[in-house]
Amino acid sequence: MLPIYDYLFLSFALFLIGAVGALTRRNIIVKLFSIELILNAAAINLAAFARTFADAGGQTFTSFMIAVIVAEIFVALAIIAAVFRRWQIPSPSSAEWPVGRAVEQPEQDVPAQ
Amino acid sequence: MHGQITFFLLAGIAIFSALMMVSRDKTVYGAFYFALTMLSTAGIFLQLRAPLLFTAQLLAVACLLIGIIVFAIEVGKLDVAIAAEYSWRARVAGIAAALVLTLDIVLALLQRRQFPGEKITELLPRAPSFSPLSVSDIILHFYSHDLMTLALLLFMFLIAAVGIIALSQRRA
Repeated sequence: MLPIYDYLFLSFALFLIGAVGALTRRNIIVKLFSIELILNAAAINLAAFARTFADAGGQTFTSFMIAVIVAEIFVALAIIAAVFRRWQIPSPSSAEWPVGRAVEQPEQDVPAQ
Repeated sequence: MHGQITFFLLAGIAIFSALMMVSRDKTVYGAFYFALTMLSTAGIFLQLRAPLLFTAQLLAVACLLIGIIVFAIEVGKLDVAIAAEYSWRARVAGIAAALVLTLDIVLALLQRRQFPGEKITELLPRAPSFSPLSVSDIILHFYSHDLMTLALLLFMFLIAAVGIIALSQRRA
């Protein structure tokens, strides 16, 4: 087995990328995937320590975590779709974003008298 | 040596696809890069001699792909994907920070290769036995030590399933 350093470095890199994505992106789905990436990094840590110390608890909790990751993705996508459909939130790429901002009307030329 | 090559290949794929997932504009590409990250993580689980986790991760990737296909049309209609990010400077700065810190990790790893005497495991208690775990050990652990956790998790899954069915059948 490789030294546990390597797995810790990989886990830290994935955690870092996930944290950066969750903090800097505005896309809700990419934020969700970044959070799942953080969970994935934690799963690698648990599995590596389970292998190092020959303990079944780490692999047990990692399998729980994988199940939670999948369920969370489905539930979060369903909630996002339902919320956007229910409240008719305008597209972020449209002119009405953010919500509540008044759309500027073009000025009309007043005919001279 | 082969194990090291496999690990560094899988780790490189995982980090590269994670970076691409964070930096892509289109959500669908990000989702597929996320699936690639999970696949490489499954390979790392297999290298850690955890076949149950490998299988669970493959099933998770399959479920993720099905979920992407199912929700792609709905999410595409809603246009959740943002064409123009609000703070692109923050995004570029974040990606640059991630790259610098990842480079720092690589340098630390190379430095550790030069001084192999120092190991973090010496600070932790050593395992009494170093035999690889079998699937039956994990299943036994499931139903002996973590039965309460398993029951709670199944209960949460039941609530989530009811909620997702109720949300999907609701009309605007």
